Amino acid sequence: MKAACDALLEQLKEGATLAPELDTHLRGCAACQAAQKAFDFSWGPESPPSEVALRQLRAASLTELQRSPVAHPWAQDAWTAVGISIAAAAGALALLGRQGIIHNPQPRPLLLGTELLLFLTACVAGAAAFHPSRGKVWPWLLPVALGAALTVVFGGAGDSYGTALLPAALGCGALAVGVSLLPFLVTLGLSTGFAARPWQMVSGGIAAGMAGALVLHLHCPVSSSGHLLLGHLLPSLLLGLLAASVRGGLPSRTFAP
Amino acid sequence: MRRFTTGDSQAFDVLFERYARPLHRYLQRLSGSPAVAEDLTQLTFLSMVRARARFQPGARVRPWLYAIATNVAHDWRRRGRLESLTPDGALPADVATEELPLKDEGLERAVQRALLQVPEKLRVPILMHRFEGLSFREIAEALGVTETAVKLRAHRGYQRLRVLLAPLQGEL
Repeated sequence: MKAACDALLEQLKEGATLAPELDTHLRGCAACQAAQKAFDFSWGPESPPSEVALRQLRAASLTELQRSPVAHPWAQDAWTAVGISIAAAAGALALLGRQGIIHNPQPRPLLLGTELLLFLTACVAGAAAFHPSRGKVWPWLLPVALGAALTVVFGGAGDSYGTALLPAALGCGALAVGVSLLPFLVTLGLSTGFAARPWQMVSGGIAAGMAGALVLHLHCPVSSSGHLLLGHLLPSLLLGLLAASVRGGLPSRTFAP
Repeated sequence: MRRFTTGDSQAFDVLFERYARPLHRYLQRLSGSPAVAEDLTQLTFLSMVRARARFQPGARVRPWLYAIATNVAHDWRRRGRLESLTPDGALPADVATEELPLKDEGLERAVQRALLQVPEKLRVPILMHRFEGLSFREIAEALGVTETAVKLRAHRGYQRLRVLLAPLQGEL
């Protein structure tokens, strides 16, 4: 689409006269002529809504307003989802920690720094999932998540402790999904409160998946890049994709963006 | 809008008076049926009330409401059926599939049919621009896409519509 087509589209208004340069463009542009003819087509009148229906609609809306006089902020849902992820991670560590919580041989500052990045990813992904507008939080998610992922994968010492890649990765992946299951379901449930878009659900799934990633990063001693990528991080991404797919089939309680 | 988000019913009335008819008109064009449009308008307003805290301070009300209405219509179309609303506006899960009644085959119906043949992705910007008078910036806000993307869709949509309307030109 040329700049002149763009400008002409802006000028398409009922009864508006085109500027001379746009008029010249119109005469030579078949696409714009088609657009203008369709715009100028005489459309029939619509049936207005019945007054009875409008009264009923107003009454139903006012009843709903009286039923919930206090609005439910989106941040409450976001922090509920993130809070449950953290609680699930803490619960899993408490269960697994009978023989010690930390088995990752990384130096403590690096270990805690990576945990902090994973926690930050959970928070940003949770906010991105529930925030009403994409522009506000979404741009932060990619650098934070990528930073966390790179730190996890390349921050390890590379020891596989003689374990085969796939069985060990599958074991850790299963644990990650198990730990993240409750946050995942809660995120799905909360997301029915608005018209969640697929990218929001991917974020929500990743936020839930961080529960598993937080646990595994502390508890799993295997630090080969392949294992960390497949067993520790991939489950979060898969949960994100699964959340987007499952949410598409769930009914929405409201349709606000 | 700020007063409405705190539960002020008078503020709701102002919004209702201003937007109920335009939203009904928009949903009628989008769904192709006045009866369906009434149900969808109800869902739009119930969503607006229930999710009013999702309105971003400083944002414009009109694109937000049209975004809700578009989502409502999209959901209805995706489900592929018209479901009757329960008294509190919820969608019951066990309603049998209904066919939309076909009205007369007059010109108005033919025009409406042409409009409905335009894919929803292209039709929505046309409806908002041509019939509701929203600016491309407002449409972009409502749809959560860039202004350039909206213009491209509208341009393509108008071209498609022109082809579909060509056989009807003689009847006017």
